[in-house]
Amino acid sequence: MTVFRILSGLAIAALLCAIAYDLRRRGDSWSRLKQSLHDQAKHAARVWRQRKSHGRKSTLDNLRRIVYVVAAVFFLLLALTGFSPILFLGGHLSGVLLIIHVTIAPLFALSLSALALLWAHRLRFDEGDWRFVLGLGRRRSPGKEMLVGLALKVGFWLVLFLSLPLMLTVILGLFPLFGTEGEALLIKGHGYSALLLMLVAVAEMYLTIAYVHHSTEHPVKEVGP
Amino acid sequence: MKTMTNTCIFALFLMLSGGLVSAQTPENIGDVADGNRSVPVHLIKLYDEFDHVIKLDDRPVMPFSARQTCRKCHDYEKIRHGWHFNAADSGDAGRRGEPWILVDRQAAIQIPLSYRRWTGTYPPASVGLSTLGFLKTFGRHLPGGGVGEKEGAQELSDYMRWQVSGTLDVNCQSCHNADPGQSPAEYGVQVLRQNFRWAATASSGFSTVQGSAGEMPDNFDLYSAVPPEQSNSLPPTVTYNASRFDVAGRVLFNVPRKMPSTQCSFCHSSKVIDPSRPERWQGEEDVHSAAGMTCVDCHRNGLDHLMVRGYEGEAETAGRPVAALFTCRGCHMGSIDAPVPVEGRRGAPRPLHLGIPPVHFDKLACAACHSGPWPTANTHRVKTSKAHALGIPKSDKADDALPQIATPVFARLQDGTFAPHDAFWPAFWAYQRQNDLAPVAPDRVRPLVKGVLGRDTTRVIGRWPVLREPEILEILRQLGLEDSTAGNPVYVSGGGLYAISTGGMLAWREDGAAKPYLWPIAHDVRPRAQSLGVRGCTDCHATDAPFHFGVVTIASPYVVNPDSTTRMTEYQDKSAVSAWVFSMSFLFRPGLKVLLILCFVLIASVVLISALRGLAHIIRTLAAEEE
Repeated sequence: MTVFRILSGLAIAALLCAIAYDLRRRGDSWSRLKQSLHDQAKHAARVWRQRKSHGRKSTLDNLRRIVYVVAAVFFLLLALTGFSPILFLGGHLSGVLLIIHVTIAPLFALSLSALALLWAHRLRFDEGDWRFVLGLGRRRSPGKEMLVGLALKVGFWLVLFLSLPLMLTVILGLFPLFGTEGEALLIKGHGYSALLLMLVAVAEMYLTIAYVHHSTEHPVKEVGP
Repeated sequence: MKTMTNTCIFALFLMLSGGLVSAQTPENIGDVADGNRSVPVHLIKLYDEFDHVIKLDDRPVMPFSARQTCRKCHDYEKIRHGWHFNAADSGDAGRRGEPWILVDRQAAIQIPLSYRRWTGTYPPASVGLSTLGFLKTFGRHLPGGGVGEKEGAQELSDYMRWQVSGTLDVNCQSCHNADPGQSPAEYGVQVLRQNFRWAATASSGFSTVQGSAGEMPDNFDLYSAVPPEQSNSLPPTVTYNASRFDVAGRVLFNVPRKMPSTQCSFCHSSKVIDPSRPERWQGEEDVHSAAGMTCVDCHRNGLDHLMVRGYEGEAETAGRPVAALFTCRGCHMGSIDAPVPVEGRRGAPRPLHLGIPPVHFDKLACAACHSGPWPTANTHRVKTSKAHALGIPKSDKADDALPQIATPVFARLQDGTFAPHDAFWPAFWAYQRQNDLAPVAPDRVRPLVKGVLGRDTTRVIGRWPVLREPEILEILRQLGLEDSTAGNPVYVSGGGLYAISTGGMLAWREDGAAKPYLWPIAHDVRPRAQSLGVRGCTDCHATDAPFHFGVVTIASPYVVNPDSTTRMTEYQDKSAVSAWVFSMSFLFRPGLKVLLILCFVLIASVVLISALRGLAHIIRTLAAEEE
């Protein structure tokens, strides 16, 4: 537990430092970040109001964005309830925080499944990404939008991939299959999976909010073809 | 001159060396093991308290003294500071244990007493019990020693009585005599008769003691006859079974190396009053005993007789690292601090604890799931040897005999873990000065209670003289009048403290002194298949699971709250709401499992399909480049 506490503390601190550094480097990004969040909130409200007037395609688009936001919110709540007792108290997740954590967990699992179904095709890797990667090898200066787009795709698939051990460690722990050491290992595996997932997911969310320039007021720009 | 100087120096050397030699304590023959595993035969002469060999033709024949008899081969001075005898010593009191409970039903009092400084207990002197009075009341279940033989603990006012009764030395046979005739009950009876110096002899199985020192006058002399005014009383007299003495005047004691559990059981028994199992044969014994183990297999000790109590943390608090090896964990799971593997001692199986999240092992003592009676919706009453004089002839055998102790109450230990406890609620009269309570001796209250109740001829006195508000007010007023300088008279009962308010009414408030006295229990250990959690999480995490929501009955002599109840969460520093909400979540646990599995399969499929498609794309690209 102590090792995990130190590692997760360092990792989260490093992530926050990187974000802070990037924001500082970009100078006016605080206001843009605020503006972006504000736009997304406005857009979500408008989509909700106009949900009946939209066509099927538009409804699906809106659903994609809503699922993205919902999954992000659930994930942040899970991360907060899961990591705060370990980071700040050095103890186990228990009491009210545990109740919140286990209540949100199935909702997050559902929203993540929906996210996988709705976004998998749009965020698939394609020929352009392959050429871009090859271009990196030839030391061509990459286009910023392409780089962000690729990062978002990588982030998306990493989130899905890391969610698998995250969920598997919980599922196995719910059945009387493992003994004391096995259960401890599962908890440890859950913690490290969650830590990696959090690092990737927060970076993904930051990139989405801070770097994707919206032609519309969509929270996530369509980066795939 | 020089010769004289040398002689003086030599003489001085001899004196000093002689002094040094005599200052060393040679190890007694019985205290040094040579490694032979056979059991030494204890065919020994008996010595009386004045260190004279006992002969059958002595007149009067004296009771033998375990102190004088056993010290010939064993270091009595070291032994007498062992755990069973050192309550009044200033050593570490260790984890809270069962107190002596002074019950005076006519004074509506039940109060926990102990010479150890366990929080929540009171020293016997605080309720007017002198050392002699304490022994007369509770010595029945004491193996002697401690205050029984400590001259410093004897009050001057009892000096003459101590001369009559003698001291209550350590009775080694209480634990070490496996003779079938060894009778701890007889020992208890003799102590109640104040036959302190005769008690060990009477219980030995090869002698009979008649008469009572308690009935003898203060000037009673061991060597003279009964004074004329006591001619109807029989002085304490010993008659030995002559057939047990050999020609050399020696007696055979059956002293096995490991004592059978029955020796411990006399003082360490408990009877859970479970209506579903009214008969003894319907109950079970501790799983370790059933497997053939004895108490001393775990509760070991050396010559110092500092028993391993066996609780987690004893190694640290008592400063004895070896104690960690004899806890539940020590035997069943080993110790990472041990230089060599120690788990599995005496065949202890290593528990699998399949499917139990590790947080349980941080939050629960082993006993929480494995010991005590299986928790039911309501706590049971339990009778214990110490509290209810079990085993003593003519003790109250009724199931509702006072004091009323509840079990199992799942409460927090000092280390923060949960464990089953026995609990009872103190009830006593006291004077309060600032935050301190000075209990009032039962002798002072009894007439007041009797006087108040005596006015009501319709009153039926049951187990308690059930008191009502005006009666408590009256008794408190009278206590205040008796001694106005002692402090504010109060009555502690049923978990609350009652005092006269400024308006002359009876006021109730919470107070630390009114809290129940709880002590952890570790036996009987149930088999694995009867451990909490064996049927799943809902053994403890159901909205009506006794672990959190069991009803604890509070026994009280005060009529407003006789047998009032609380929930188990009261003793767990836990909100009943949060415990209920958490338990509620387990209703959805099966659905959660299904949902998580479905989500996992779906996401895994998406990832797998995408990965395969990507792989197919790579293969196609490579093939195209090749073509």
